[in-house]
Amino acid sequence: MGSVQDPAGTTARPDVPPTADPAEREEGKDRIYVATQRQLIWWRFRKHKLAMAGLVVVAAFYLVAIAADFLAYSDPHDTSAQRASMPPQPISVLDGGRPSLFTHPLIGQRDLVTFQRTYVADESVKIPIRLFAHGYKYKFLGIVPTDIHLIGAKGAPTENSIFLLGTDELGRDIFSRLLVATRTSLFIGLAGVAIGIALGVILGGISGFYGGITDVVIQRMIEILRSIPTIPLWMGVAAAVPHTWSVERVYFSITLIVSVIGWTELARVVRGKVLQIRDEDFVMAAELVGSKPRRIIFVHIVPLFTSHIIAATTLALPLMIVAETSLSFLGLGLRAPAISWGVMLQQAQNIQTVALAPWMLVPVIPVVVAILAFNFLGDGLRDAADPYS
Amino acid sequence: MLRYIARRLALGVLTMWALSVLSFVIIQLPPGDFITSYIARLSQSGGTSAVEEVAGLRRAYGLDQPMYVQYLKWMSQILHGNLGMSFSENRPVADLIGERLLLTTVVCVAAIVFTWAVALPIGIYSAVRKYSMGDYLWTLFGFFGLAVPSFLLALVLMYVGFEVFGVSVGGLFSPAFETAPWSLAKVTDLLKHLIIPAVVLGMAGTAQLIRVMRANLLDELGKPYVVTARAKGLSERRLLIKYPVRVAMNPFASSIAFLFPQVVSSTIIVSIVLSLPTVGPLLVTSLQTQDMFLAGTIVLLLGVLTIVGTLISDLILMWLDPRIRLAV
Amino acid sequence: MNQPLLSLRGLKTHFFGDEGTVSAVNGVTLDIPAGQAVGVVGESGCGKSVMARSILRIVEQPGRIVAGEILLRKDDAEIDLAKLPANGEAMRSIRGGDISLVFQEPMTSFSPVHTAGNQLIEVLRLHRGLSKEKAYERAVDLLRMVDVPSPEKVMDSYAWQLSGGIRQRAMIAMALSGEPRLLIADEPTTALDVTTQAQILDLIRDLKRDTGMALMLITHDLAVVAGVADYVVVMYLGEVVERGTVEEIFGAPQHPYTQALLRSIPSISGPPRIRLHAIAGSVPHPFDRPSGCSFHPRCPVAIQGTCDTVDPPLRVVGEGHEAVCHLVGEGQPGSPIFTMQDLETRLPALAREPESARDTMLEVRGLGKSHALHASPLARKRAKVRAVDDVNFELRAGETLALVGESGSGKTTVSRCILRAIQPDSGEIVFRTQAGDRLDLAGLRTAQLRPLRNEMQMIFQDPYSSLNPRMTVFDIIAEPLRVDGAQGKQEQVARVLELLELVGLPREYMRRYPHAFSGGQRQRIGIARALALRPRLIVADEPVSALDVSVQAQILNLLLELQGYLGLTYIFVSHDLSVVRHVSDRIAVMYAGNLVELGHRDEVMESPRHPYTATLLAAIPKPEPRATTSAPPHRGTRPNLIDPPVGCYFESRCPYAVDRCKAERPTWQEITPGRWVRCHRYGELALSGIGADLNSGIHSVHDRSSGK
Repeated sequence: MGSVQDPAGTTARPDVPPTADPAEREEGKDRIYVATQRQLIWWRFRKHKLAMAGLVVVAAFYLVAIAADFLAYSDPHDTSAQRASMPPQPISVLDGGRPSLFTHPLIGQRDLVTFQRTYVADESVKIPIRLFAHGYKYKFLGIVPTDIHLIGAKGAPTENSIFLLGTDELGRDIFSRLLVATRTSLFIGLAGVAIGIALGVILGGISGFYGGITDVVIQRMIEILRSIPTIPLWMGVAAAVPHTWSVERVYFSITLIVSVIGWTELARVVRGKVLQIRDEDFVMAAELVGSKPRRIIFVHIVPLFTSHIIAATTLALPLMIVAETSLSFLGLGLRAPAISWGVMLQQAQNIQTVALAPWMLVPVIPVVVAILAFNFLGDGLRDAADPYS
Repeated sequence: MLRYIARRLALGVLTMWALSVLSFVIIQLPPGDFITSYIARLSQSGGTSAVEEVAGLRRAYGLDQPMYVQYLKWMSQILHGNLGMSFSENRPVADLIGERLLLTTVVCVAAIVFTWAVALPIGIYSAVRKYSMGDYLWTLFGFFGLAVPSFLLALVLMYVGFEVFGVSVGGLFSPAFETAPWSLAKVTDLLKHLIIPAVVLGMAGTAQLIRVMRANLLDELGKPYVVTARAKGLSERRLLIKYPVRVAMNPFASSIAFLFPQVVSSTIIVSIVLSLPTVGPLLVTSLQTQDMFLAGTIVLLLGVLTIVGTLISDLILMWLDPRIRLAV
Repeated sequence: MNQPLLSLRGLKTHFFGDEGTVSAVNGVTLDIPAGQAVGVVGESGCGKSVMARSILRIVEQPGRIVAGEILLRKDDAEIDLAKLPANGEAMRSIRGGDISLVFQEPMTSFSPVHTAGNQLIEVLRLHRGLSKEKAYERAVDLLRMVDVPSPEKVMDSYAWQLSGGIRQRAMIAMALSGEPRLLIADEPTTALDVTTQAQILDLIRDLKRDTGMALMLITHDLAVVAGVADYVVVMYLGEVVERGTVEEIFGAPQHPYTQALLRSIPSISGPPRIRLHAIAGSVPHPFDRPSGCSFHPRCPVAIQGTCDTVDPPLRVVGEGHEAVCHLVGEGQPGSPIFTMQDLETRLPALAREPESARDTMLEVRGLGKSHALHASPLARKRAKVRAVDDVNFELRAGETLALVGESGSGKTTVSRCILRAIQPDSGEIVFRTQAGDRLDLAGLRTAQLRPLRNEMQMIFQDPYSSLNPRMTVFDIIAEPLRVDGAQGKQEQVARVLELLELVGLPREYMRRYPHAFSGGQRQRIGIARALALRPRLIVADEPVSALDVSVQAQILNLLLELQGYLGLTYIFVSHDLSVVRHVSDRIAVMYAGNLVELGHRDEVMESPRHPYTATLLAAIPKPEPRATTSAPPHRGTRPNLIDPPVGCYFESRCPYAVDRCKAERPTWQEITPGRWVRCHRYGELALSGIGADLNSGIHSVHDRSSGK
């Protein structure tokens, strides 16, 4: 088929951009012209410094969580009254100018007046610390059985030698417990978030796509759920979980409870997006060329808000962490022998304990940092999700 | 307007019903009925003479009948003002809850008032001085407010108060007033003690509200009517307060609807950390001791509290926005 | 022009964004004489609005005036507004006091939570120092002055309770309340219907005459400027390219851009269906400001080596007539580079098959459609708007039928019912397929419609909403082929390339995403998609109303070419009668969900038989200097379609209404073969159209021998 005749001959091909521009500039533009949505979002996201920092921190958290047992050195469940409530003890890295890793043994004494146990480092003795030492047995990634840890004491049980962040009332190493707790607290959210997202996307999508009475019912449901104070409800349900259940089962039911209430925000976002996209002319254009609803939903509607779902997920995870921490803190969530940030903080409920062993408050730091990082990341993703706004 | 009120009221009633079902489910969830645990408790303490009493209770709550009958009986008891008995305390629930519920409300309202009083000016400042140093600082503060769960904040405050100032920051009353009858001095004492809980509970909401206010105001500041007002020759300050701030107040007012449930939620945990005599600690003990009757009732009453809060926010919104007020 | 009221001297306003500096206003020099009207013309993105805001010093962050003077004569002295503190007392007393501003969107220009009265009184108290009571009285007077019916009621109303026309009147009243010496109106009629636009333009003209204030009218619409302005300033990319009296600009335009702009408007008096002289390309983003003369990449007569490298000089063509162009000679007025005659000889009308050879393709009978108002679906009685009611017409193969009407007249609903994008409530849509079958589209289910999708397609209004931002141009154009499933990938690519060439886009664009394109290019992509399945019928819903004038001409040309080339049948939905006259064979006029008149283009436009058609025609602004629009007297409001009136829907606005019109609804009747009208009095009235004396208005008597 030939081109349309152009009688005037002056407007040969309108809209072809002027060619006078320098070639390299054109190239740069060309890169943008053929960039996919995902690339545009990523370019925009990269400009967000806080969000990038959030991304790095979140990634670091998950790496630590995956390698928790390897990075830990003491068995997190090993109790001993002999080393209860020990203060943090740093590792020395220099021995008279030469690089060397060692620590000193701590000698416990009981103050005869206050009956408190106090600890003094014995500077004359050095306990060398070696890398990739053998320690308690665990399964790496839950599959490979091993007992190699990043560090371990040489010549003495590691449990009695290294106390990077001190010990708790039962003499368990806080640093090692914290690493294992990180794994629990970061992964406990995922299942719940997945359920919440599935619920949110499906219910929100149905609500927006079909509208009418379905929409009204789902919207009212959301309004009702949102006006219910969540914590008392979680507590009620969590308390009702039988004591006889295994830790994993309790674990799972808690995430379930949290997610059943947590889907509403995403549902609202998805509904709004679907309503907005449904009104776009390109959806009607697709209908007019005979596309079936399935094609319209999966080719035209869903890809346009996947970035919003990712952002929502990132913002939902910290809520999950807070929920778990709060419930466990109250003794209604995870219980020993499970280790999570909330379980660790439970011991800090008593002001007397905290006053005597302030290092018990250490889990507050990862909680706050993780939530902050997730929020920065989620915010950045949300802003970048609409490359044209 | 009437239709709007009717709609909101209907929704409130619907929510209330949903909540009562949920509370009932919570009561029912543990294995056996709540009488079983009562019997267990009685036999533990050695009392065996209460068999008849137990039978009476079973009849009163229709425990031998289908679930929905039990629910209806429980509801009708509650609607008649009979909140039932706490089996662990062996006292009527109403007695246990009464003053604590009032104090819970007081604490929550104080937190909301704090949130508003702080978030409004900061939100305006952040929007007007967008990308200024102050804006960044407040944004950062906002992120922290959001990131630190209120009970952790309370925990840290407790520790700092204890370590640095050597005072216990908990409680709502000085020891002298704890059991004293209500008087002006007691109210003053209460107000003094309210500051810390209000700040702790209000922090997360404040952070959220600053963001809401900033975003809304930024939206409004770009609207043509603001340019019109400026083109009229109004001074910046007058224009700002009369137009965009006024319009941005709407979402601000409707924020109670989501703030209130949050604050009520947080009160529970914060009360435990700060040992506030609200329903929070009562709820936790009742759950720990499986006193489900008491727990269910508390959950229900807290829900009612938030529903009332939401309704109030709807009314404020209506009063603020002619578009809602004048709509048919 | 001795002692202008306001002079701009080399004004530059730049925006300092993250991605670079945008020179929105780049050295504007112009004068506004006291009591005179200056029209500022240019396509979108030419810095007109930023200039207006710069004058009032209300440019928003990150914009800043970086150079130039804004000289205002006040109390026999000259003040440079660019030097005053933007929010200082002096500047504030000038804003709204000496100079006031009216915007495009009267809806959003009022606060939604304050009454109109509140906002009016505020200005009166601020600038005139009136007491509350006095200010109220004065506000009511002002509303009366701008012809607002029942001003007391409007005072207590919120903007969203008022109609568009009343809102804009109230806005003007507010602008007048400081008794300004200069009124800046920034696209004051763009958001309004054509009849309302005509009334507002009349009002502005009268106010200028009666109050003696100067006027700066900013618009993209040359026709609007022609009727109101004494002087015209043409802007391109933040620069003034030409200025002079309205007669000079329209009579002897010098700058190629001015000439091209004037030529790209479909003329209401010239021959229809000719190829318009479009301007190549579109206004570039100010980031990509071309070197030398900013216009040179789009200029048909640019000189290589000069225009693209050397800044063009300012040439004084005559008294107060200046142009900035290399090609304009100093002191040589009146020799335009092209003439209109030139064009008409060079652009012959497009050849098409004769009308008699056309068969009926589509018959619409008794079409009706209601929309539910967004009341709760749970409510027992749902409020419904009769969007379309008893619409009947037929469409012949190969013709263009235009559906004309104001916003809310139901023209879009009709077009979407035909495509079955929405399901009509009642009536028949009988379509004759390629194979010769007659199908009632109204009764078909979605699955049954699918095979018909290659017979009819749609072109959309909004070029931004009509393309999925996640798909490449190839995916977008190939989507119909893919859904159709008849072709393999190779054939799809070949077909897409063919289509791209057909709509005038280079083949390299296939890999790009929609964000790489301007509005005009996007519209071409949309057209290519519509053509992919080789349909016979194309429904074009306002295909050019979102585009700039110059791009509009490109797309209109393309549509006409394609029709001639592919033998397409168009249903062309538009509110713009000049465009409609340009493209259509027959015109159907809609009002409040009814067809009120249908007939051949020339018949309808030259001798309308329905008073509403006459009203519409009278309201078209004409691109001729000092042409008045003979706006119909504004009376009555549109009928409430939730509870429609018993009689004629147009009765409330009709100047010829009699008792019968109120009591009885007129029927849709064929008065001569092919000529339909819905009016009780069509036989008695003598209405004038555009062929007649243009200035006589609808009340003039015009003889007609044909008809009943």
